[in-house]
Amino acid sequence: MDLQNLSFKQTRHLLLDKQITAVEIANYFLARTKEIDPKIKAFITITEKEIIDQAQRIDEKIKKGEKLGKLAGAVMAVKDIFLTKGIQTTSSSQVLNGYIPQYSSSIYQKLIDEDVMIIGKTNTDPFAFGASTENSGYFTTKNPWNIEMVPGGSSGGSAAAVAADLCHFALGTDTGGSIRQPSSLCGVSGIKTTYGRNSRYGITAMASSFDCPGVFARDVEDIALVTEITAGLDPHDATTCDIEVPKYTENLKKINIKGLKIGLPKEYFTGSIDPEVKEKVLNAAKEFEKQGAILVDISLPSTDLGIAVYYILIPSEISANMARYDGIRFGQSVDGAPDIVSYYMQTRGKYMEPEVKRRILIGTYALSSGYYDAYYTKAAKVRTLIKNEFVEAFKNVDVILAPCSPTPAWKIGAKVNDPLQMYLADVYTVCINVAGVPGLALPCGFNNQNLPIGFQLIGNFFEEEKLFSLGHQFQQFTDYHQKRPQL
Amino acid sequence: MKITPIIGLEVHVELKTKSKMFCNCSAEHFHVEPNTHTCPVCLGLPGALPVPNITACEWCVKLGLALGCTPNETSFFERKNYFYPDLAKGYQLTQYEKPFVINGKVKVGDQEVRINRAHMEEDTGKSVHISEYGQDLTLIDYNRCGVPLVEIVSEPDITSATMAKDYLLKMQQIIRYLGISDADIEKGSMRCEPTVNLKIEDNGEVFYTPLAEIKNVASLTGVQNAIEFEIKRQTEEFEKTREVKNSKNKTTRGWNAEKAQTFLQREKEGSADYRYFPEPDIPHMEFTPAQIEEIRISIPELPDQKIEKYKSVYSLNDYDSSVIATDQNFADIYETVVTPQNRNDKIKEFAKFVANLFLGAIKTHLNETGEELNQSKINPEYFLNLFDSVQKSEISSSAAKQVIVESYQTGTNPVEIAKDKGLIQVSDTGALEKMAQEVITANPKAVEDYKKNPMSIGFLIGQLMRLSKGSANPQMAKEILEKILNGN
Amino acid sequence: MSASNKITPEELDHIAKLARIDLTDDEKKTYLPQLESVLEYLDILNKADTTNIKPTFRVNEQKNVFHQDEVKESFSQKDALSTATKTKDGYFEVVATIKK
Repeated sequence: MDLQNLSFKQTRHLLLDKQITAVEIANYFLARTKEIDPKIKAFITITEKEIIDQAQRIDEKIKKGEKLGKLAGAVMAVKDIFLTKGIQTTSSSQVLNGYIPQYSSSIYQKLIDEDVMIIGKTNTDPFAFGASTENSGYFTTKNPWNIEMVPGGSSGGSAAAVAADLCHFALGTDTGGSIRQPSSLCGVSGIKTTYGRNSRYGITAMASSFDCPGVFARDVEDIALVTEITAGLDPHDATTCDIEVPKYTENLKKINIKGLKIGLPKEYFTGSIDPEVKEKVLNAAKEFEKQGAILVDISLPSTDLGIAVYYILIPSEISANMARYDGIRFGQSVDGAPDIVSYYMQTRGKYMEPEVKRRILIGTYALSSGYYDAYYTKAAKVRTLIKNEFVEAFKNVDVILAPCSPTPAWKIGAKVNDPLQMYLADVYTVCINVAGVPGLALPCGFNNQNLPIGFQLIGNFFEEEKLFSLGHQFQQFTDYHQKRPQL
Repeated sequence: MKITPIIGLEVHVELKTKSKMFCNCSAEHFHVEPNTHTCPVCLGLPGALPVPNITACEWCVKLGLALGCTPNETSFFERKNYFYPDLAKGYQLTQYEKPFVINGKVKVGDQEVRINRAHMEEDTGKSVHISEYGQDLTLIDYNRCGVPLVEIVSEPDITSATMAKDYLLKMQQIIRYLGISDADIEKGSMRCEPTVNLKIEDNGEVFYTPLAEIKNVASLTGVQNAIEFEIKRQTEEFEKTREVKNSKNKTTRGWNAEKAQTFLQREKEGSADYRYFPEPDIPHMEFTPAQIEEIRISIPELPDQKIEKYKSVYSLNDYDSSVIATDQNFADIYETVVTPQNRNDKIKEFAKFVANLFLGAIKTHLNETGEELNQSKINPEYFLNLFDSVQKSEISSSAAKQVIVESYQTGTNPVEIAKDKGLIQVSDTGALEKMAQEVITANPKAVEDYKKNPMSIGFLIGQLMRLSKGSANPQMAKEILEKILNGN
Repeated sequence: MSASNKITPEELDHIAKLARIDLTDDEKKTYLPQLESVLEYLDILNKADTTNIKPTFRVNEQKNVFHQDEVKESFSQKDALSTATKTKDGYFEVVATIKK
């Protein structure tokens, strides 16, 4: 049976109707991954044994008539920065080559408890530091729409795996755009949840006050289902919020588009934006307008400061978060260092990838004596300004609509030698992380080279429900999310 | 040349919570198999996140309040960044800008030491240094990593090594009263880092010597000796170099207990840049005035208050008062026996009487056995009975000391013990007169002697005591003999 | 913060030492101009007026999140040590941290 074009919901019906077994689903995705992945290199680890074990357990449950988890029949790919007990977790860095964690991230565990099957761990920039997967300590993932192009990043492997139908959904994280930008570049949907909605526990930390785990899928319905399971309070993550998780899947039609005010921030449609991207994103806005939404021009004046705020605060947090990678309790280490200081310097110097080092150095500099107020405190104050601008904007509009990336996917290698240019590509995503609000990325067309273009709907704090409802309805009157790359 | 030491103390106290500061691993680490109380959080595994221990935070506030500090309205944790293998995360969670409590003071003797702050942080793991096949290695046990620590920072108000020791003893007393730590310096649950320099007045000029922070002092006498050594060293150093304190010449010195010397560990400025910044993983903390009040109410009566009470209500002297108050258990038990309502008009006598027994016979007994005073072995009623008997001269003070220990051991009423042992004094005038007559009749020679020299009455008293088998009240025996012999 | 804070090779060495990262000469040559251009870009923040603005360290408004003081299960010693390269007698092993 060809399962490629079926959503998880459709696949689950087949499983429950006993037209197919979980092992058959697992084998289908394994075979497809083994065939396709060598072309796009989305996975660092393919978990063949685990997926078959899990499938057998599900079939056993079905046979015994036991209650099935909500995700029985679903196949998931997991960004390799989520710790998976017993399964190698590298964070795409040589630092963690061979690392087999003795505990699992909270979100992954919640999904496993709902009988999801894991197909593998996906490539990313090391520790999610990057926007293209080119910084990975292993290899670069290729865009399924054109294998000469980057898939975006950092969660590029997860986006590519979904775009290539190697799984039903994939976990990612979004610290400055790492879900929304690769979604846009790979033509899939993806949610960056409100900060504190999804637990960060057990995910290698990039920037603690920014990191937002989320999910990629072909359509919003599957994203809503997975988020319904992952979201909520985690006693292991003190920054998760004790705010009730709505039944996202039951409320997908809840929001009435008619009369809905959609803000178009002018700062997101000027400057270096690619004309085709601008056109397609504005077309998406017009689709909503056709359904009765009111488009409102708004301004988020501090947008141009977002990158600077971001590239001060995140390296600062990174410089501390990366300090634990010393090779003593886990991870790679050098032999024969003459003393403890050399041991640290050699170990970290040898195994950390260049972008990891760069960010640690910038952060160490920004926090160091004499520079702290000029960099860290100043950036934290501008963060307040940016956050306030979103809060103000949402007094006048219901959601904000904007592009995710100024350009479609670019050629592999085009920006690798210029970190600043790479950082500037985050211009449309970082402010959302600086503020902490949620953003849902959706495909909205293709450029003349058939590369996908996406946009994001940005909501107020904890308004994922609204975003899912609007995104789902958008996917009822458009079919961009149904398009598949030729592989 | 006039020299005044300027000493500030940083005291670290390991709290005896059940679980660690940021995870639910057991905080027990003394004589525990290495690396058996660890989890992702305290091992600093990738992805692990800290969640603070409510009890530890409340205890930190409690200690602060006991030290007269003011709680900050908002406080938060910060990351102190440095690399050391026993520090799993590569940063220590501590409080820098906004500690839980600030600005307190402690009375030491008749002086006051201001407290700058008390803040919450976490302990590091333990390192064991070994040699194997000629190679030096360090082994790390993370059981202690993440155990809650409170750091109490004093202002440099301490002016001598003895005062530093008294300050520590006082701190230890208060901490133990609060029941938040064993505060045992030898076991490391209380640690102390003195920072010392000198104010030198010479020919009308004033100089301040460079600051030295002393580490690795592991005993109370060590603290005293290290400070004394440092005062001497800095004096000599100043005479040689005339170097004065500036923002760059603070040093860290280790204490070598064997050689009784401090030694230079590192020049501080330049090498340590801790890059503090607010911990993003932990939301800030605010205790409401009601919560603070609740914590304040939970603070027991502290030694200073007890001493004051003993002196003013019971008229105990300074020495007795402070010795009783030293140990909370001891003081509390004393107060179950002596309450302001006891024997109304004779409360002061009773308080003194019990204090003498507690600090004398009972304490001696406890010292011999190495036990702590046990509430269940102390029956307040017995002390009242004993006191009344002594008041009525039925039991002598020395007999009281004798029987109280046996009563403590056996649970028997001390008055009964005195009876069994024949320690009850006969104070019945009739009985004594009868015996006195008998003694006078039997000893005409002694009566003659008495008439020549009244001082020789001792012999007759002795005879009376023997006749009564020692139970006669000697004072009364003397009075009655004198009455009969003098014929009135 | 301004372009006058241009990072010097000595500063780069100092920062690398603080961060405990050995840099090869080639790396230093690559990183120095890269870091400079990034730091120069960051000067853009100077144009923001932040008078009377409080810094934001965490974006959500929670406070007072604690764990109750109760003991839960820890790793076994075997699990704790399972990811380490070097262990000995139940301990993690490292290069000597003190000179004897």
